[in-house]
Amino acid sequence: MTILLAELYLDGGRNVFRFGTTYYYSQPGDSIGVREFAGRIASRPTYSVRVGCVLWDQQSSVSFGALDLANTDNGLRHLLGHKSRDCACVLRLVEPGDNYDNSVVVARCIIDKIEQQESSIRVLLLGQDSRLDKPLQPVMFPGTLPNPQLRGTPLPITLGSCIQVACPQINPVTLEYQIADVGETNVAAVYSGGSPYDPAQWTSNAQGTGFVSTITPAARVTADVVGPMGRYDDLLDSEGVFTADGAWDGPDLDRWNVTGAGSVTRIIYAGAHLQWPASGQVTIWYDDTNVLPDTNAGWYMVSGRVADKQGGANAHLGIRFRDTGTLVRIHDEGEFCRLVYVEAGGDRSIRIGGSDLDLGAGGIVVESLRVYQVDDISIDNYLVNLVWNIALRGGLTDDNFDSALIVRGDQGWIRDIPVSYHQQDNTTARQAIAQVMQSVAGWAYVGPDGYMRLGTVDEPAGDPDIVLSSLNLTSHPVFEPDTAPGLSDTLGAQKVWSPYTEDELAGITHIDRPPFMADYRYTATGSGVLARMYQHAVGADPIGTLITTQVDADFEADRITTMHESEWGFWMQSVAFNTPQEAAALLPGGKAGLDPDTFGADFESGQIIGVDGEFGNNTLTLIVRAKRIQ
Amino acid sequence: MMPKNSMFSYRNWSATHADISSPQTFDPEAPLSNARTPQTGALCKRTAVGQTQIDIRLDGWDDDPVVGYPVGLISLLNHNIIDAGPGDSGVQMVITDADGHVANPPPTTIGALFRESDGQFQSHLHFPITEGIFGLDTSRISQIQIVIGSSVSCGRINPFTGQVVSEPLQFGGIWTGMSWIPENGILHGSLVLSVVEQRRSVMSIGGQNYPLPQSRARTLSGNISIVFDDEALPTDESSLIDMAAYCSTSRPVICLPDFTDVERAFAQGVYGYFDDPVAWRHQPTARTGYQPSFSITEAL
Repeated sequence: MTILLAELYLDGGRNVFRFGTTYYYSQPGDSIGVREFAGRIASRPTYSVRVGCVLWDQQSSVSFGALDLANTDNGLRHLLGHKSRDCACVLRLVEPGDNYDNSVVVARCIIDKIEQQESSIRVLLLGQDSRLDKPLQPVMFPGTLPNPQLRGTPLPITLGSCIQVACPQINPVTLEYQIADVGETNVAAVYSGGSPYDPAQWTSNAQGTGFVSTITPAARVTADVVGPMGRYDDLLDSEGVFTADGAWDGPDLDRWNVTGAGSVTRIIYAGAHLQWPASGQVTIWYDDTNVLPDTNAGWYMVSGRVADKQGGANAHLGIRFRDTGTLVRIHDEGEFCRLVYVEAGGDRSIRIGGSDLDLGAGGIVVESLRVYQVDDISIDNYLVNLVWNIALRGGLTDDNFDSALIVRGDQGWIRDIPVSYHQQDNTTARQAIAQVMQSVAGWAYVGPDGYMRLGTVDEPAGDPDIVLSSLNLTSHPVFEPDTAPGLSDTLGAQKVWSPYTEDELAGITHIDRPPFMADYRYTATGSGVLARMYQHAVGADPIGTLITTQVDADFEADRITTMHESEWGFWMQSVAFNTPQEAAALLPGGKAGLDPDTFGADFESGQIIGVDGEFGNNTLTLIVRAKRIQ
Repeated sequence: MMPKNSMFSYRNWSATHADISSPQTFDPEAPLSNARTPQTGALCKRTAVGQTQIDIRLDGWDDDPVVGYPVGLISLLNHNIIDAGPGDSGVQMVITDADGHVANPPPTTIGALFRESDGQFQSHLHFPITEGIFGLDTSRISQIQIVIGSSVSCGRINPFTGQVVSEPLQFGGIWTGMSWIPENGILHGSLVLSVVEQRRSVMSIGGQNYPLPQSRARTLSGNISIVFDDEALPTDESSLIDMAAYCSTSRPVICLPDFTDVERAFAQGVYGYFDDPVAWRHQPTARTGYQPSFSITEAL
């Protein structure tokens, strides 16, 4: 009798409430000690995971059903009084009498809200990918920007090698243009109406985020630019502990050093609970070489989330790079992301403090505190790294990444190729990732367990994760053809981010104009002969990709068209497993073997692209994409 | 006529009226207050091995005159006692009524009421106190003290090998409820015992079974051979209608089909809820009589 456990980390994680499908007690030797899980779970949450890609005109999605807690005695009404939105909920499976530390985490999700029903408390859950549904760029041009038209608009983001991006002019007097939000952005060429500037006519700006022109432009200005990938380091580890466990309050101070009269308490899966005296501050300083590696000046980005803050309007979290650096003050609850320019100096410390906090009401809770070193150009611009970077900027944390899950090396079907990305608007992180993954007809999703996974439409190699046959199918499979409505035999690569119109072009010959007006500098037509079912793709509009090299575009076009020389279809069926743990471990991206006695000789195996289940149950509904081989 | 050997206990005063305390320490995550919940999975866990004393006061401590409540059954629900010590002498009780009568039942009569368990089922300690026993006025019990001595072994036992994993005492509830004992017990041939689970197994299209084990619960159903007006209908004392109205299907009840046999009390006794409202069918007898039927499923 497997028990489903639910842990609600309310008030930013400060208050943890634990429930089970029946009463369960952890053991004294467990990491959390003896804790009671009240047997109030009245219905197990369901989940649904679908991966989508450009070929199917479909986005990936992860959704959860509600967690219902029995409340006939009104004993849980107090839950409504806690801050719950965006707090963590962790679901586990454990056997009766077994240790909590032996339990299996099956879901790490986000609480949307808590509602009172007639006889239950309903906890509405969201996947962690919902963090990606906010603008990727949270930093706006300041209200003091010399160009009033740009004030309050998002800073540009440039990642990888981007062709012909529009250049916002941030200062009409000095003719300064900004095309990225981090330094060490390498401007390769500048154009005015398609006509290239002489290299002597522009220089990189002081922050390395753009350039300063020496001539007044005659037409709209664009640039070819290579933006850096950000390198980052966590200040908190996966359990919310400042890096180097126990380093803040014991005799064995290591990298984090605490001075002053405050306290820091770890909140598992949430962050840290920090308390300072209202009239003073604790300084927690950190001098790891991975964070401030040298004495050079540079740009850094600090991000995190203030989950809960108690105090007046002036209460804030303060972060300072080097002892003499600029103090970054975070006054508001919610996510924050600040750029900091750090002067040269021998002091490698990062200091964290607080002011005017109401300790009686609880101080402040900080989650996912992270520092990015944004001027390290040694990091590549390949697809996996770029998606990882966007996801981190979008609000995910290292808790959401397991490199073994991102790139399934055992199957080797993810093609990690150079790509680029640029934006100047309020595009969300989810939309940005979808654009990038479109380059390889792939998907990215954050599974119920909270880990991000990447994948591409392919014939998975290797041994199947599960073999579907009459022995484990609990419903007869239903077939639906894969018509691939988004398929094209042509891929567009080397994206032109801001094409000129005919009227905008000036100073270049007619024959040189098309590359500046095209959406893509290169189009690759695949060599595969498409099956009859996919003739709509012949000559169709190119699939827009962010691939930067022609070789990769050619390879991808050949891969996609060759794959569709055969017909594909979707099999939907219900499957039983021996244990709920086995069922929960199966997610999209895996390979399913198809038994010929049930699926016929036309199909041998396929790729799992959809999973519906219920935590604690041993059956799943699977959608498998498979190739017709005859 | 059937023997007067069946007991139904309801109105658990420990959950509604009693003060429950102990001089010993309980885990704050599994406090003694959990003994008041109807969920026997909500445990009271001692933090250390050793003697445990539990004081149950029904008199409100300072009521004057002293009050008492009718008690017919004292139970320690879902406990982990596996050996009551030498000669079953480790569990003792002190019972006091509102007139100040104090009774110390012989420990062996208490200790013999339970047997070792491997945890597959919940073990309950049942101690019926019938009217006049030990000179007590069982209609006005004011205080009960339960002492689990240091000679008592608690923990988990493998019933096949006898291997013991020693743990501090824990239990899931304290029951001090009034009882209804029909003059004629459960009808011979009508008593049905079983163990049920909410089956969630699935069958593959090829005929393979994929079980998903769920909690097991004992069930108990039967008929009372005959209940006459004077024990069925009074509303000012324990009676069939009083029990049926109070419990309906939402308040717990303990049924001991034969409380006069300690082995059967342990093996057959069920703590649970009536599956359906208790109904009693009129019987054509010389006196006005009824034949009630009931069905109980164990609550965990």
